[in-house]
Amino acid sequence: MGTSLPNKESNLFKVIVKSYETKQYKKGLKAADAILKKFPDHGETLAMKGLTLNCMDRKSEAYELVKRGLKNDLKSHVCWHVYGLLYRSDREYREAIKCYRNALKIDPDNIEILKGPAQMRDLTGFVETRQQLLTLKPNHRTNWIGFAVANHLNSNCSKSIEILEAYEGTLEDDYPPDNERYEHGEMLLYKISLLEECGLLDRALEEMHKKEAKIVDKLAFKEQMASISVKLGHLEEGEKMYRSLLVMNSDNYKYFVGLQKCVGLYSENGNIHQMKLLSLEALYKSLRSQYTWSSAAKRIPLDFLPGEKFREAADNYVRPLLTKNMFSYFTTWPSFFFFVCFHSGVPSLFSDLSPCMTTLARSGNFSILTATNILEQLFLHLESSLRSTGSFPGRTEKEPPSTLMWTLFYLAQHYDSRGQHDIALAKIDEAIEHTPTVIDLYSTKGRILERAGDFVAAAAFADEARTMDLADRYLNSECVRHMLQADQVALAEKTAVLFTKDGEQHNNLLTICNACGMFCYLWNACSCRLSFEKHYLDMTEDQFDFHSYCLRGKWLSRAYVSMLKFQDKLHSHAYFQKAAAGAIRCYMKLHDSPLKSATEEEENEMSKLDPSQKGNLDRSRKGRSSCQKEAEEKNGDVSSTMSKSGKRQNARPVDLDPHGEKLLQVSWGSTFGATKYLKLLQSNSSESLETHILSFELNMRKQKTLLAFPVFWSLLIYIIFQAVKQMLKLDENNPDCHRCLIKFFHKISNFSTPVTDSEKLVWNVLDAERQNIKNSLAEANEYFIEQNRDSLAHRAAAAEMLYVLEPGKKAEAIEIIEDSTNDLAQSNGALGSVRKWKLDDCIAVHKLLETVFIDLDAASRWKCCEDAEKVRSQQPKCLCVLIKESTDPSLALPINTTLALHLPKACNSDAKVSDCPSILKLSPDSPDAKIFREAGGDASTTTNTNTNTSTPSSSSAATNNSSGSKMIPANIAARLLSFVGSVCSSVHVKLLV
Amino acid sequence: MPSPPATSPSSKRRNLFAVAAYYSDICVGSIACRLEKNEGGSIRVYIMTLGVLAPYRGLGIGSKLLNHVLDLSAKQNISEIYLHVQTNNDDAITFYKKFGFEITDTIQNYYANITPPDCFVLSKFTTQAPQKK
Repeated sequence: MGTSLPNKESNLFKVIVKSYETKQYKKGLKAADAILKKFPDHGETLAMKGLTLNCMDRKSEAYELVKRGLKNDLKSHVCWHVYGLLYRSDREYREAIKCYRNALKIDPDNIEILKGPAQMRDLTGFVETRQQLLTLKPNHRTNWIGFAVANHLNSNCSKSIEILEAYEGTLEDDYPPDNERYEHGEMLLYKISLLEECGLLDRALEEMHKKEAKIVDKLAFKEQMASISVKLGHLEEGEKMYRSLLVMNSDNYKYFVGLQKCVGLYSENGNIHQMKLLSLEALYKSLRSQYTWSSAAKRIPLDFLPGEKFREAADNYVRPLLTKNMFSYFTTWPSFFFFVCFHSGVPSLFSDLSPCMTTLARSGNFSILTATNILEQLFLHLESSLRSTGSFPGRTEKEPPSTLMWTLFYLAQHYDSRGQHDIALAKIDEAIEHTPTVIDLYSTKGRILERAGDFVAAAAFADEARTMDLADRYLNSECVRHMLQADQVALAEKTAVLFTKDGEQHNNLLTICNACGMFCYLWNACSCRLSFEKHYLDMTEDQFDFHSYCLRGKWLSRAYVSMLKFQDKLHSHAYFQKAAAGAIRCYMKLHDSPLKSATEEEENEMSKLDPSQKGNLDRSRKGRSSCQKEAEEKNGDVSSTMSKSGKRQNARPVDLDPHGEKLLQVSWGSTFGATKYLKLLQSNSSESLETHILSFELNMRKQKTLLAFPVFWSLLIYIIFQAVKQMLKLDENNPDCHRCLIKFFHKISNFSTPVTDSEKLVWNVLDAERQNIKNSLAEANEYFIEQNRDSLAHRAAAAEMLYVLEPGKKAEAIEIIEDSTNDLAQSNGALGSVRKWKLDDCIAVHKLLETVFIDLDAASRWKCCEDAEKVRSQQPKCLCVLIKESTDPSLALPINTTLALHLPKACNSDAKVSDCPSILKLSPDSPDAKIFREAGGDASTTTNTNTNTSTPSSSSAATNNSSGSKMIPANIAARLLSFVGSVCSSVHVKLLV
Repeated sequence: MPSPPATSPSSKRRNLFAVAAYYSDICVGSIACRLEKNEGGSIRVYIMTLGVLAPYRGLGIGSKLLNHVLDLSAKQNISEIYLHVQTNNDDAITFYKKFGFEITDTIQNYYANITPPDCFVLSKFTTQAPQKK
């Protein structure tokens, strides 16, 4: 490098390169300038200077310099290499590869450049360059391994085995010297796993026996051995292996599964024959006595034991976990209080036990309901015993006091999952009273309130939990999620900023995204999604660093390959699915209600409103814009900390459009963005029903715009049809599937007969398929109801479709919905019942009645949440908070205070607004208290006018002076209301200003 | 001159001292004290608060907390420890008497918002010789 320079400058050039590598950019820049003073046109120096500038956030200068350098010295591999690096830092991998290739043409033996292509996932290129490297330096083991890995990745397993064998051939017998034993062992294990992958199991086994002494990682060796033995059918051998593995680690579920496989007591779907069940039981009994400390050995039987045995086993399993009696001694911290509360083992008990109910149900032993009931009874039994005697039933020694608290905690989660929020709240409140210092209790209470529909209170408790441990990221993001749900955007952002520093905010971001997506903060949500996508890109970026690390001779080839595989699967990860689906929903909402019209509407509303209300709206607007500003600042902060930390040298462009409004304009009217995500979903998670539903919805929207182009249109119809078919294949009985199916064929039947060839083709296929469905769509619909008499969601879907098919039968459709009964499945009689309806379903039905059927009367009759009434009676505070917050402009909560104050009486709920100040502990002179006082007086003068019968009239009044703002979606309002008391739909329009 | 606790990291709040008690990872109790100077220049300890959550009482947690402070003061050669107790809090008074505290004074109208508003002053004097347990 730098050969064309005289001695002194040549040394300077080396300084540049060195200071680039050691990140001393200023020094490098100085050296570069020194050379350029004498040789202003020296290409390589120009290029290096550009590269250095690139790392100092001076992108445009960097590109200019590198290009100039290249122009001056086209024959230099350095210049090309630098150009490639530059592109790489901007993630333009295709361009980067071109540059690398050019560099290689000039200097085919340059090792630095040869290492490039693997990082670009250019597999053939990778193989080539690795081969070159190997021929250049065959005495480096790194190069052998690198070549093998390249072939492996290029799905040429046998070739890579050959390579490794050839490499072994070059070694002496006593090869691995003591300091390289581990590396050699890793290589051997890698080779064995390759053999296994190729299906050469016998050879793999043989190899293992031969090389056992040379493999250092005994655990990996045994695992490999066991898995190969099982594949070969050497079950006895495998059993031996798994048993010895269990000695090493008796809590690894994989080993237990392996052992079960070896003794022939395993089945994929958990269906174990009655006869085998006994021997399986015996197996675990012996394992339990052998590994008394293993919780896995105690836990696994819960998945297959029937009835009474299940109860017994669960009892034994649960007790020590509830007790967990360790007296951790004092944490001494002089001079100030210091609390550290761990999320100890017990809270997870619920999530540990709940999947076992589903597995039990699946294995056909008994239904979920009975499994849950058994557990419920068990815990209630424990609770009453702990309460009366302070010890577990049948024992005399006292349990520690915390046991009762954990039992209550479990029960709260249990009732919450069964939809009995009132009991859940009572339990959790008791637990909090018992031990007010446990954080988990507060966050769980928040979650229960969330499910019960009271978001504001949920956010308050999540915040309380957060303040109890400010250093906990999980609590922070959980709190942010709750706040966003409660529409406290400004507050949420403030809270989120506490933890957003570097680029690593995977979980954080995702929760934010979901919350945003749910609540129509489209502009926010979209940009969040984008940064989410960015995060994925970051991960891709990170793997580059890992590439060179792995191949640099660390000999982690096995870990390396599995990492690459993980990367490939990244897009099918459940979280990505969630995020992508959310993004598509956002785009569709954008498509349906573009921002522009929303703001216009708002303007119109403004002119209609009277001055006082106008002020209110203005304030809430201001609140919104201030939060926007903050977000911008936040973005600035993030980028500055990033460059400061120097962790990521390539400075990212600051997100200039934090609220995505530009993005919105771009995507408005087009659904390209959504299509992009959809494609990713389709290729990666075609098994998911949601993917196809999204595909259906999206394409149905598209087809309207394409009607003018018959060829494209019929193609699209065909695509939609495919989606429908896939859905039916996955779950015929899903209400959403049914909706799509009926909608699709109904739509098709409305169009004229085919004209062009392509249309005819598609039509023929469709016709053939239609034969499979019932004679007419109406009949299919009837049949669907018949099949799912008892499910609310199914009934609602069927009713909606009936209305779509025959608009005249509106009354009949509504009747179908209203006839549904919320059966209380009686369980044990002692403590209530399980409600089958979920809050979400109820809200969906409510929305359906209102927006699709446009029948406010029916909607107002729709009462579903007796639960909610109970919640309210226990938590009068929440309503008051809601009203108070509505006067707080910083929360951007556009709820009209006056209207909100009318809420309780309009809903016939007995909450007294005038009680609020005392509930909230406001001082009687504060302005907040004044609002309540005035309102209380106001309300009392006008009471008795609002009863259920008068709701229609009040609804019409409401539409006159309000509604239209898109800030609070209907479902939130519905939730708020359903929480306050019985649902009165018409009032919920009133809430929006 | 006895020195303040050697472990104290911050010079500003050097005279404050607090300990929290954890029961299977749950914070269930705490004690907080401060060092005060007598007129004579000697140092005494004032116990500001000592509390254990109700369900966790009777397990010896309070005793451990108090013993911890007593031990530390003995190590520092502090001879006087005192605290205030509401006059009707018999449980607390018996508790402290177990540790050698005596009622040395009664202050009328000490509390502003609870009844009875009077309190006892409980004090414990130790001999200068450092105690070893």
